[in-house]
This record gives sequence, C-alpha cells and structure tokens, in this order.
Amino acid sequence: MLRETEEELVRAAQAGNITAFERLVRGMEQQMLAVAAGFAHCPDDANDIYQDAMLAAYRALPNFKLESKFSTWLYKIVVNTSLSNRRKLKRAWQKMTALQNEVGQGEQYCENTDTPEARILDGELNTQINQALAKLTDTERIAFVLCHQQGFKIREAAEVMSCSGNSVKVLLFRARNKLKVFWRNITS
Amino acid sequence: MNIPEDKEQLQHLVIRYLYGDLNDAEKSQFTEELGQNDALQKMLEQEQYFESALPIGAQPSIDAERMQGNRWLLRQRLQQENRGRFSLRQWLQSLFERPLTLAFQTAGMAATFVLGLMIATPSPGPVDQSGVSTLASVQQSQETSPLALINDEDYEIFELQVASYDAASGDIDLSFSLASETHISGNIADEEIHGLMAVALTNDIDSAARMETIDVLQPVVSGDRVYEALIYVLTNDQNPGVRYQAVQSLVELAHEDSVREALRYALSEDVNPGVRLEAFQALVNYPDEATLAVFRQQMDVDSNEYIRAQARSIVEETDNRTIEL
Repeated sequence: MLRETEEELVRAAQAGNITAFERLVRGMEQQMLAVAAGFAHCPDDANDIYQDAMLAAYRALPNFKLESKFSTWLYKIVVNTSLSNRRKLKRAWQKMTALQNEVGQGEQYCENTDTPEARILDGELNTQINQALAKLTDTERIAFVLCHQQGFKIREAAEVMSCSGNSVKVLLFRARNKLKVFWRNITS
Repeated sequence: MNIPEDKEQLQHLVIRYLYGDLNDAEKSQFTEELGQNDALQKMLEQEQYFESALPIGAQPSIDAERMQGNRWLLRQRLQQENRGRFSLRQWLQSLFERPLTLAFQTAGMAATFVLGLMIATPSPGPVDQSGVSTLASVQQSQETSPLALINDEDYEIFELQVASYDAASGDIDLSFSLASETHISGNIADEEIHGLMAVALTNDIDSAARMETIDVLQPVVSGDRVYEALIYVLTNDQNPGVRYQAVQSLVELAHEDSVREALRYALSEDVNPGVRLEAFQALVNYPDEATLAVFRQQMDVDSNEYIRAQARSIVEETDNRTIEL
C-alpha cells in the first residue's frame, strides 16, 4: 500500500481534512504530549495544553509553508501554547504548584511497579522532580524540556525557540545549575 | 577547539558535549582531553551525577489510555472547528450529502415563513398567485418532514416579537419561535417513524433518549437512514454508553463497507475499551486488508490485553498463511 507523503497530508489537512491532520500528527503525538507534560504542573493541564496546541496548529495550517519541517513547526506551536498558557494562568499555576507539592499529582517520570516499596520511592522521586522543574523560569524550562527530555540537539532547540544556539546553551547551563542545587539539598 | 580553564566555560563545554553540540572532531578532542585534564574529568562527573537522578531522555510517561483519550477529544474539537468554519462550497456539498436534513430545514423554514404570512394577513381574502405556490411547495415538503406529523394543537409559539407595526395601514413585521410536542402511534417498521428517529439520533437529544432510541431501532437497523445514523453516533457521540449501544447494533451489519470503516475507526480511536472490543469482535469475521492494518496497529498499542493478543494472533495467522501460499 502506498503511504501518503507528508506534503500530500499537509495539503489535504490545509483543505480541512481532519483525518489527514490526524495522520500527520499521529507519529508525533506522544512527543508533543510529553513536551506539554514537561511544562505543565499536572497531567490535566498537559492534556489541555496539548489540545489547545493541536487545535491552534489545525487553524494555522493554511499558513504553513512546506519549506520548513512540519515537526519543527508543530513543536514551535506546542512550546508557544505552553508558554501562553503559563502566562495566562500564572497565579493559578503558582497556587497549583503549592498544592501539587502537597498532594503529588504531578507527571510521572519513573514508574516502577515491581514492589509497593519501589512504588513509594518512585512516587517520592516523581514529586521531587516535579518540584525541581517548577524552580526553572519559562525559557529555562523550554530549553531543558527540549534538550534534556526530548533529546534535541542545541541547534535544533534553538530553531524551535527562535533564538541562537548560544542562548540555548546559557539557558541549559542555568537550568542544570538550579536543578543541581535543588537536588543536592534534597539528597543531603 | 580550545579547552577553557575557566570553570564556567568548562561547564559550557561539557553541556555542549552532553547535548550533542560538538562535531566529530571536537568530540574526539574532548574525549582525548578527558584522559589528561582532571578539571574537565571532574566537571563531567559532576554533570553525570546530576543525570543519575534525571537522565537525558527521561520524560513524563504517557500511557496508551491517556493518548487515546486525547486523540478522541481532539477529533471532537476538530469536528467542532470544521462545523464552525463556513464555506459556501462545503455547505452546499454537505447539504447534498444529507438530503433528509435539507428537506427538513427547507420545510421548517418555509413553514415558519408561511405561518408568519398567515398571521400578518389582515383578512382571509383571495390568495394571490405567489402565495398559492408557496403554500403548495410547503405542503409538498411537509410530506417528508416531521412538521407533517405535528397537529394544530401540538405546538406553542414563544419569543414572539413585533419588529415593526404601522398603525395606519395595519402592516406588521413579526418573528417568533415554534416549539412542539407530538405523540405519534404507529409501527417501528414504518419508514416515516424510524426515519424520524434516525434523524433525531444525530440531533441534540439527551443521552438517555439516544440510548433508548438505538434500542428501539434495533429491528430496523438495516434501514439506510438508521445505520447511517448509527455510524454517525459511533464515530461522534460524546457519551461512551451511547457509542457502545451503537456499536452493538452495527455488529450485524459488519458485511457493509461503510459499517466496517466505522468499526475500524472505533477500534483504533475510541477511548472506551468496551466499544473497541465490540468493534474488534465484529471485524474479526471480515479480515480484509484495511482491517488487518488496524489489527496490526492495535496488537502493539491497544491498552486492552485481549484485543492486543487476539489481534496479534489473527495477524500472525494471516501472515503465515501468506508465506505458505
């Protein structure tokens, strides 16, 4: 069976074909949701960001030029949607972070279900990771999520963030230092 | 590449190394330098210690159920978005694709217009030629419209507004809304009745009523309007219980291409495992190429263990048979 090319799918989706749009994002949805989850304070927020970003992408698709990579363009939209959601809801997010720390309803980074003890330890680790990430500024977090969690090279992250590779490097440097301090405090 | 002595610059270099920013030559120089430069070695160890807690590539885990939930919700939102976009071409196309809806809408609009005309007419004098033709066309449309089933005493007029009134001539301009409740007795085999119920399924009736309607329509499920409405419900309804009932009704029509297409969609996209399971079981007897492609996908990603195992077994069996041939 012939596979539709990305270009064909983009053109069909630009004309309002929902199935074509779904096929376009199908291979990337897990990463996109993980990016949203990297920014959000809880899974529900991450889902909202993902939904808003995908809808924004669908609306903006007629303006998408086939000169750039669709995945880079989509990452940009997810990152921008995450940022605008954070700015819009800054106060609510701050409150939520505090609450989050108490109840530990954040994203799960490790899921060891072998034994109840392992589950508890992983639950604590997840809470600590979420708390640590909450210490980063928006741009530090973008750089960290893209390079550290998503495995982007510095220049790829720079393209998504529309800045220089040097800026990304500085942001990563700051993010890692903040996280290290937080980590040291916890472990000591 | 110069290896810096400044601690901060050294850390920048390590970060570039860790995040793949060094080219091959720089990378081999970096590795060589590691054996000789204690400061660089120590810096790398410090950075790697941090990664023992949060390694590169560690990202929030997204399970299949959550992914499918998002997929489903996104489809609903995209469909809503498309409905909101007005395009004359698409509108006309969709009208021709749904002749029944077109007939109902036309009849509804025409009936409202005629009723308005009757109220606005001061006396029952002779009707002019244009009035007669309008009335005639409405009566013709009403034969296929639910409005034909509404008795005179079964409707209420509300939100009546006088847009303008000329006291001297008596000319008046009105607008109003019409609500009606009608009782119909008949047989479910009557096309007019089950057609009406099928249309109601795609309109905004409450979930309990939709479930009851699907239940009642079961004996006439093979009627064109009925199964089209059930396909619509299976692929669009927000309520999993209603979708479940729709898929159960459609099982016996799995030999139809359009039904199988809807079942495949439900199997790959529906967030509810019960709906997926019913769709899967209906498709098992029709393992065509498109269905096998969905089975192939679901045997890896479906959150339901039974579907994964059965889909794998069917796919493997088919593959083995192909090899033998």
